[in-house]
Amino acid sequence: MTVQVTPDIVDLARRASAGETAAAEGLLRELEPLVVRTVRLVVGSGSWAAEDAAQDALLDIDRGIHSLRDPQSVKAWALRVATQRAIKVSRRERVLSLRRAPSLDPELVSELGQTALGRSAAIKAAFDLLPPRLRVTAVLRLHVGLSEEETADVLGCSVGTVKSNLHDARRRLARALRERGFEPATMPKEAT
Amino acid sequence: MTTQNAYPLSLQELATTLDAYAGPPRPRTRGADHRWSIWRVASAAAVLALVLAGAAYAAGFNPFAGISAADHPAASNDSLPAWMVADIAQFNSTVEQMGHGHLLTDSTRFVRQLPSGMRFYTMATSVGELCLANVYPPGSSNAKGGLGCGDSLSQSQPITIGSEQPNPATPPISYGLAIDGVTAISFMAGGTETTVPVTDNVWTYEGSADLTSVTVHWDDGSTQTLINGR
Repeated sequence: MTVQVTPDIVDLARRASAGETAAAEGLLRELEPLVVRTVRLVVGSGSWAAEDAAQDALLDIDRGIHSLRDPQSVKAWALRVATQRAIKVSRRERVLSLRRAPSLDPELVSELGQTALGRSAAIKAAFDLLPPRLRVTAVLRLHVGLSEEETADVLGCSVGTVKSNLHDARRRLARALRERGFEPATMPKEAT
Repeated sequence: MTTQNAYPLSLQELATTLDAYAGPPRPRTRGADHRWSIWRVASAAAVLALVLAGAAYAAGFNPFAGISAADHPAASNDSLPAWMVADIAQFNSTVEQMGHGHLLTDSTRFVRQLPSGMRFYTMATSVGELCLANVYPPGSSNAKGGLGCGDSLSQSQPITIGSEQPNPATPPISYGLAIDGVTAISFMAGGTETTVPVTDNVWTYEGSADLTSVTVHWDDGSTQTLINGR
């Protein structure tokens, strides 16, 4: 017998959307790591805005669970709610020109220099400067592990847009790395 | 086979970086005064659930729950090599900035030694995350060891998966922890279906590090298919 990883969460979603309080508690506990980390990465880990947005996304899910029509798609629905919140916060921050606290202290990045940690810090710093639509696409595809089709479904866009966003994000990050003097890494060939 | 990528950044490297900065599974709070107004409008059920979760952390939530091999009083066998303790002390502040808290070396528990001499240890972080350290035997031509951290294990996340190839002359090694009740793990590795046993809450596999279609085998005969190993 093969059991999918999500039967419990689907059952919780079905009961929660029907108004069962205990199921709603359980569903939030199950979804919390996924939602919190997704929102945090989109808004910018290391910032209070990201932590606040993550909490607000959980509240959005708690409030909106009664509107969930298909419990089988609860994760996609939760990611849709969470990314809408994350993008909203990210855009607000850009509009208000509020600078987030950097994920890593620039001096620390400098000290780390060309080490693996320095490279990682440089990628993250550049990532936080990408437009929100590029960040959210990369997070859903590469951190959450959604397919291009699933990412398009969550974001309400075409698969072509997903591909284009990821390409654009990677191109911008590559440029930022070059500007910091990082050499191209030799790595296994990958499907894109 | 390796090729020079057109970009100085692979999708895998970007994914690894995002994973490293994803932080703890729960949002950090600035203090009750800042967020209370928001929490107050949430349903009582949700608030209770999240507050209870927070209380569990504060009361010493055990990230080793469900890992019997790590459930023993501290003994001399649990001590990490001095070089790893020193390394951890050196990079703890960076780990903390990535949102993983700091590594609690005093919490280290030995869980398994492979015939090759490689040893595995569990460790907790200050934010209740679970870490797995692997240490190669002294004198090995490989790297000295490694460390990875993440959520504690649960029924919905029953295993961890990590891979490394410290020496290009030897095949990659994949390994991870498994919660009590998991007897074996199956996966497709380089196009071949493979099943490896779990011993003392640890599984290992030497071969292709490209593991897909991961399935967990439980001691009641049931199986559980994981998506992307998450």
